[in-house]
Amino acid sequence: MTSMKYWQAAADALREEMRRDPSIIVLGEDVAGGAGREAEGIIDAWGGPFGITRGLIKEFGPTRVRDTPISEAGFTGIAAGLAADGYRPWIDIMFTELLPLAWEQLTNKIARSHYLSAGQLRMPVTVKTFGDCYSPACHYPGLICVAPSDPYSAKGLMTAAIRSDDPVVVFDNLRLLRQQGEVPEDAYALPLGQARVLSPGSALTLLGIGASTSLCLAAAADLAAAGLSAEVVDLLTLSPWDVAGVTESVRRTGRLLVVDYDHPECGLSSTICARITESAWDALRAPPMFLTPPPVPAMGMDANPAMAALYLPDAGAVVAAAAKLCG
Amino acid sequence: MHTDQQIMLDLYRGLCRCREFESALIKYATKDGKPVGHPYLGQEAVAVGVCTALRPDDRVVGTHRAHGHAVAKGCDLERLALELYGSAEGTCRGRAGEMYMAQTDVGYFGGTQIVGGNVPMATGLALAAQLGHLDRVAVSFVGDGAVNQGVVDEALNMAAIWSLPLILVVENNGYAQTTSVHYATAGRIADRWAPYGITSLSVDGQRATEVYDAAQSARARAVSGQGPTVIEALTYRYEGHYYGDRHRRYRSQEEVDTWLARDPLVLHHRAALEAGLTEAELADVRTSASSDSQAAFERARSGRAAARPDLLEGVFIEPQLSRPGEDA
Repeated sequence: MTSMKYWQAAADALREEMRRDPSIIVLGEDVAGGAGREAEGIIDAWGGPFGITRGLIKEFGPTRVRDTPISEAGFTGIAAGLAADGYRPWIDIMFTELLPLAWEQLTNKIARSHYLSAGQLRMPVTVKTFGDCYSPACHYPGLICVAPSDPYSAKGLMTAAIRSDDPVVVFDNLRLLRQQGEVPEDAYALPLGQARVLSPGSALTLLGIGASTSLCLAAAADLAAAGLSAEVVDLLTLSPWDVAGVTESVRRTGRLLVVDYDHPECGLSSTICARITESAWDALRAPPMFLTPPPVPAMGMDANPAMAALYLPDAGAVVAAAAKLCG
Repeated sequence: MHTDQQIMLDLYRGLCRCREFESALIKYATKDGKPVGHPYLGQEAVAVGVCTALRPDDRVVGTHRAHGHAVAKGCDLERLALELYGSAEGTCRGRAGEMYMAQTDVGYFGGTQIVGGNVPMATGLALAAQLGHLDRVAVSFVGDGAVNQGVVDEALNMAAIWSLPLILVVENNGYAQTTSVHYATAGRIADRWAPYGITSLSVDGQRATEVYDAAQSARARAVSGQGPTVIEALTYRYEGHYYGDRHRRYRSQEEVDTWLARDPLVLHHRAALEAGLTEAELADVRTSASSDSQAAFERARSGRAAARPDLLEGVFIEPQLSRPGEDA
């Protein structure tokens, strides 16, 4: 085990997989940085918006680490073509606000091709992005969506995403970028489609999604001090999510609170509540609830970061919602 | 004019197969209550001219009007007919239908319902060929409407800066659905990407030999590292945007007649005779194409239907996720 930051764990996973598998090709805007200035000795000038891909061009060269023009739809479709011919592209769509630009290629080509072609086309594409707006991608069949919640899951899920023969969208989170944690040095992949129980409890299940998992852990500590035993479950794979695992937890506790930073309407958390209402009906002691920001179109890389404090759920809000559920 | 009789014969065979396959589809589908979709009638010389200049493992992606692309690239007629009939024995187990059907073992990677939506994928296939140092090109067919889609421009820009072995074939049939190319498109299509340094030309899309020559040169440039080519082929669709579209509401009879007089099969038949092929040889080719196509649709009528247990199969390859929706 080594202590490292979230972003270093994600970077390690990519680097280790690229060493193992020469078919991995990294594509995106400024994934190396300074492209076209090699003659002046400029190389590796950026490494992606937060340095996750820094150093890769020096180790693997410009053929495998390729800066693209600002063309999200174009390079996402290029990834589909590379994948169809046996490569494993890893593409950087910096922020979820940019995903809509690539949406047509991501859905109609990357998500649908394997199924529609009856297995003739494979799409082992990893799409890496930062942000909370993951529900649209979860809505689409054929895409696997994951959201790590700490350095350990950042490395394990990134490795799993890259090794998967299916397309995987990795939703990283800027709030977690500098979080420190223990990470095994050797490569490992977390199982896709499996949630994990982070701390057992008996009175309710707090379900975290990516960055909101830390919030659940903090709230669980506060609730414990108040005499309420909360079980914290970390969803990890957002689609297709672990219905059986979450059901099992809720059947133990009888109550569910999903804590989610995405928009509320037609979102992942409302889907989870609906499914769990069916699957754990006879064990429920209260209606499943979800806690999200209000439906304001201000999320993401906001012009004014202070806005976030106004709309994001905090540990206090989680504690209040949990108390209401258990009351 | 081509003097190579084998090529002239190959081109004629391709034209006849596209024409007869489409005609059989219309005949059987209208009788059987199956969809026809977007017929390729009239544009055959484009797909056939290009695909005859390609090697079997060159990659091709089609458009929404893709029956001709699939046939010209060598897909199995019977399995295509089964696919169009929604049978589990089709090229894609009946899942893809006319616009997405694919047969990758002959280098045909499928069409798309999104105008211009396949150009990035073709660019990726071209990048794969370049990364593997392969003697291989990728071809994307598009219609004239696609030149106004931003993503096509994104892909061509990258193909140009990386000198990718990509051939973009713009089938300019004059209409994007009902909208005239003269209304919707600024400048000449063949001029659009010339400023990117992309070799661009316009050819008579009704003459298979002209299209063949252009594709052959484009292929030679592509595999020798000279980058992409745009070929605009001037052509015409005989039917409307889809089968049953009342296209006379936006096209004059005079215009239709002018193009019917330049039918690609008639023009090539004449050229083939001039190249020394005989009436009997050509008639044989046409007859075989017709009987193969009829047989394909007779077979499609008795194809095994797609079944419910197959529905959730193959959404994911990951074994633990392979049957989503059955997990609760």
